[in-house]
Amino acid sequence: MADRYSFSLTTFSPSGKLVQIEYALNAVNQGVTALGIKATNGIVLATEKKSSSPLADPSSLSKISLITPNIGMVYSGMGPDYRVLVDRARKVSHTGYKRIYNEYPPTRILVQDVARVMQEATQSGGVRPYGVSLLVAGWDEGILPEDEEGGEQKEGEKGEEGEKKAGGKTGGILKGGPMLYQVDPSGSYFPWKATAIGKSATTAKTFLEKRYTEGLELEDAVHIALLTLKETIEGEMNGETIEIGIVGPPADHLLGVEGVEGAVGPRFRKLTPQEIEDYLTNL
Amino acid sequence: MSSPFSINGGAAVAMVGKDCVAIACDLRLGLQALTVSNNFPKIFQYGDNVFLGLTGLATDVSTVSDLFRYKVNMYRLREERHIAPKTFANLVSSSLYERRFGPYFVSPVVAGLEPKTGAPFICGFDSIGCIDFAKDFIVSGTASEQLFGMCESLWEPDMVYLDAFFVMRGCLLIMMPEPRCALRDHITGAPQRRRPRCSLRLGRPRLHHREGQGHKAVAEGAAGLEGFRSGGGHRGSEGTNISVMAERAIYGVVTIGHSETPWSRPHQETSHQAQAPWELWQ
Amino acid sequence: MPGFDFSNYNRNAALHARGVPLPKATSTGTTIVGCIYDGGVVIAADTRATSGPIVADKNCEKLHYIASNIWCAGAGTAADTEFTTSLISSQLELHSLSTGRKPRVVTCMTMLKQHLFRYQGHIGAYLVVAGVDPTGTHLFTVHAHGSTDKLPYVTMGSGSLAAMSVFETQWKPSLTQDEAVKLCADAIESGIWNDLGSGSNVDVAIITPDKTTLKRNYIKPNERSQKLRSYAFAKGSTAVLNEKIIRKEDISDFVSVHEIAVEGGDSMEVDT
Repeated sequence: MADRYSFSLTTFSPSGKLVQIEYALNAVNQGVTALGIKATNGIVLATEKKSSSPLADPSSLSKISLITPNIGMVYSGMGPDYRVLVDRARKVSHTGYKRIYNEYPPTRILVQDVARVMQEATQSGGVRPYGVSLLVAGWDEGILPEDEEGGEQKEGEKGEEGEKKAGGKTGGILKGGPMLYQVDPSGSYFPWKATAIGKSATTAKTFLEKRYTEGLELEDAVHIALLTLKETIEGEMNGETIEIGIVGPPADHLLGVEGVEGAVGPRFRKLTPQEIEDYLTNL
Repeated sequence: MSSPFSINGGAAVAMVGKDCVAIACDLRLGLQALTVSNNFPKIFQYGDNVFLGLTGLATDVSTVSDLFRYKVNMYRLREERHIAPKTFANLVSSSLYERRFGPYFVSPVVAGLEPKTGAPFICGFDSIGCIDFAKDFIVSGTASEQLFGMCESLWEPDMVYLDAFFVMRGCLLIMMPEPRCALRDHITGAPQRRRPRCSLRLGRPRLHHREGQGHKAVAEGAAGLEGFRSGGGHRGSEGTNISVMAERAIYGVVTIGHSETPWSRPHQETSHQAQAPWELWQ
Repeated sequence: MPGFDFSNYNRNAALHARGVPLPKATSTGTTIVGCIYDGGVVIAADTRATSGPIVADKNCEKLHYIASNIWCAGAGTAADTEFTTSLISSQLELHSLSTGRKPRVVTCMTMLKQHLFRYQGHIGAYLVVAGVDPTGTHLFTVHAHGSTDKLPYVTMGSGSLAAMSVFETQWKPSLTQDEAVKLCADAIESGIWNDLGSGSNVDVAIITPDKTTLKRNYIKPNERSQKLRSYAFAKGSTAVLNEKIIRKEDISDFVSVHEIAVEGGDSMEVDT
């Protein structure tokens, strides 16, 4: 019965602060900058892939992860902690949702589940808080009829030619559409239109505040994401040093099956180094 | 001892029509040949347009209906939305399969309309959660074989609202001679009481509520029998009608629909003499 | 499957001990087959689900998705084939996500047999596992007790003998895709006609290194013909005691939005 003697390491200071959580946030704020921007028809997640040595093989490194076919995640802070959370998020999306309802969890449900894992680490015995902040980007199908007023455009791919709708009317568990969340080591989470975490989060957020407009399209969002990274990045920007994940129109070519009724391709995918290079040349 | 599925008796049927679904059950609760109650509903509502019919062992019908009330309420609190019929069907399926080696003695039926598209959805289950997705009809309970026969001969594709109602009604009337489903007064041949013989619910596309245009009606049949509920306010509707019909205190239905639909004036013969259900079939 | 709930087990066992029969589960009497050809593998199934002597579902799906490159045909207890395949599919998806590789057919087969062996045959899933992975094309059968076979052509289910007779007379090495599909479909049809547990339509899945093509209802030899007459009820079968047509603007004058207590008993349980 080891846990009988395992006490919480995260205890209140006399001033009412949980300093362990603040230290965890410090770890996050030393991490490599990551950012997310929500567009009307998708979301972009971007970060720098920094290797400590020129001898490291960057192709083996991956900081943006697929959680469910429609949800992706990026972090700032401690890589090993992040990988634990990625595993937990993937697992809980199956055990706590897909195996019950035969569908993947909506973004907010997944975010809440991950946030619970992170909160438990601030109150349990013998553990330390996770040293990461997360950006979770996902697309929800929604349950309201699609042509509702103020609703989201039909589908991402139609959004290209469809008229833009201004205002924060995208996303939501009822309407469906893109959702972008930030989760902190304390277990608190916030929805954002655009945000950044990590070392240069403040600079990046100031930049995003200037560049962000309502009714942004995914292509514009990728563009802004790269410009923002350019402001904060130290090294060279190329397909090997930048990582981008997008939530966009369903990628049916990634499905691998034909003739299955109702099968829709994953919306989340990572851009290949070549695709990133193409965006960079057009910057 | 008889099978736990046939101790209490009961039957349910669900059907797809054009842009609508219907689900019905009898209301008898029996103990073998003895009728204990004439008002034991077997259809439960779990959302705007999600219904679950449960036949089988009555104790399990109650337990399972309560279990899903709990699970659906938890779902709604967590997700801040109603559960969709397909999602609910999968929840029913996984919950029943969890008890693969100690099942509830129930045969559930789900009927509803998909909230996003308004498409009708029905399905049935065995007692361990295998889903039977059907495009036409689902039957369950002690009269399932009779209902299979009726549905196979009466069901047609694209039945409009009232046709579906009539077919359902016909199916249930045929089902009535099945002693375990019949009402006490039917078996004894006592005069028909002003009691519901079966309960029937129809769902129409849940027409999304828009301010100033939407209507929500929870109305009851003229005869004050089984409550019937429906949401109204059709997108792009020219005018919305309400037709109220009642069959001599047997069914009460309020429908809210589209003025262009053929059933907006369903019956010319308003003076038609109502008949007791079994008289129609003599 | 950590978490079967046995809390009803003792009650049901006690009832059973007093002579109560066990519940009838939907079973897929079933003919399922699989056949390797040059360049891939084909599996096929009929679409009848039975509950005792009753056809419970005339067009059910017995070809189950495991991964895009691995599919399963299932016979036996329908709920068991459905849930066993979806559980393994889920585990394999997580496995493939964490390894960053495509799932392998042997992995799938091993997970299935270990799961089924653990339950000593009480999970009544009889499966044909087929797929293409970086190590090649594979075709296995998995029985409910956990035994497996690896063969170039396989049949399972109550129609397996009818189907095998087709393979044993017509199979040859080095089939083309079209020949393999034809052979599998013929084998299933043989089950449909000659086995009472099988019927309705033929479903086929063709798995190649590039993609899987599902041909749902590839052959429909049992289409229902038009009914000779309509048995619909005459209008007026239900007496209308009164009727009123109301414009929607006036709706609030006629319909009040509230619950009305039902006379003589509880209203149907409605949760609002």
